Amino acid sequence: MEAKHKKYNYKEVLTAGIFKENPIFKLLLSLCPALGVTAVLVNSVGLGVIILVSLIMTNTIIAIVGKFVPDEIRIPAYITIIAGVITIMEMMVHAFMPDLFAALGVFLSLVVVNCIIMGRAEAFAAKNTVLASIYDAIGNGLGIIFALAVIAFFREFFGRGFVDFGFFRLNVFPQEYAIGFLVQPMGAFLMLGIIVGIMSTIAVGKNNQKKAALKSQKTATTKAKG
Amino acid sequence: MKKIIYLSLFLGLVSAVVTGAMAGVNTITAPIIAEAQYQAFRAAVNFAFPTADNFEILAEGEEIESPHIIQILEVFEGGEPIGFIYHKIVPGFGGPINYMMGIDFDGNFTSFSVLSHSETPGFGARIVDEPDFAASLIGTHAGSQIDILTGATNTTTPIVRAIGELHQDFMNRR
Repeated sequence: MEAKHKKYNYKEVLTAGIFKENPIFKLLLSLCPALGVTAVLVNSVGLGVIILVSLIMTNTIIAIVGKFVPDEIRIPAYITIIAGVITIMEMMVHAFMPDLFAALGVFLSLVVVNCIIMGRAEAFAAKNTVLASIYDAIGNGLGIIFALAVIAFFREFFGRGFVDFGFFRLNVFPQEYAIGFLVQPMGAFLMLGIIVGIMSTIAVGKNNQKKAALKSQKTATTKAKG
Repeated sequence: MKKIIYLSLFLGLVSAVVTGAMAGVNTITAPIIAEAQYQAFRAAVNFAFPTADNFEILAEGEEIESPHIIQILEVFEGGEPIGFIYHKIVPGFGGPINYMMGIDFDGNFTSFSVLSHSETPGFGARIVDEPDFAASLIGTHAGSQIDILTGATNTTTPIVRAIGELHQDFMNRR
């Protein structure tokens, strides 16, 4: 298997994960944390950072060893590596950030089966260079942090009446008027749906604009030719 | 056949390396985690029995028949056992409720402290935010009738139900 020496546009690899191919908003992957922990902003960002660090580690390891792993046992080998990395992360968080560990509970272990980590390992890291894989991991990790933070921000904003940034608490309106059900599990579905809807509407609008611009350009050139 | 052996060996090697790395990290983190847990127990013991000076884990996990009790601590004062602390997890309305209850040898509760929960603010979360529910438990005999909290039925019913189980276990151990 000869590796193709493709020239990477690192900036593109990085930003693809954040906006164009955002794991949660665009690919609708990794929804377990997106629905499970986004009731509290600080915890969501915490989990996002854990996913980012795990992604960088798994992508790096798999970019290095991926070429040696026989094709038949690719998936079990990757899963073993990913599970090992996440377990190590879990032990570190348990020891050094006990509050975050208690708040995330089972969702921390569930990062093992997070689609995006396996997905990036299989779809990108195994076929690309180490450096490109690290960029890809950072891009996707930041995309997840961004998505989790946005969902959690609006859930806290409307569901609690305040947003707790950890170091600073933004009071918006009295708690009596908050839509309490938004901080419950079903509120996550609603909030995710609304945000994905808004994002898609913007994306479709942009696409249409681009198409229209292309069309007018084409007609202009054909007219000029004619 | 040769291929199968090669694949098994490769997978075995991967597992061995990963396990080794995990074991390495575990030797660093395990003492820190154990120390933190000891401190948490210490605080719970002092809260339930202010006069206590020592405690030990009596039973945990599989050794306990009741599914909701995950740990039982025995508390001592001057070498004499004075009570138990039950560490329990019950399913609440918004998720598991993780709490500790102290009980003295007369069968009266001495503490009710919630370690973690995900109940609704203003409803189930009142078990933590308002003192009424904890106050209704403390000093009450485990075998007596205990009221649930109005408006927090789905939160307090499992806790009150689990008290029967706790009482049973307490009677067996005493």
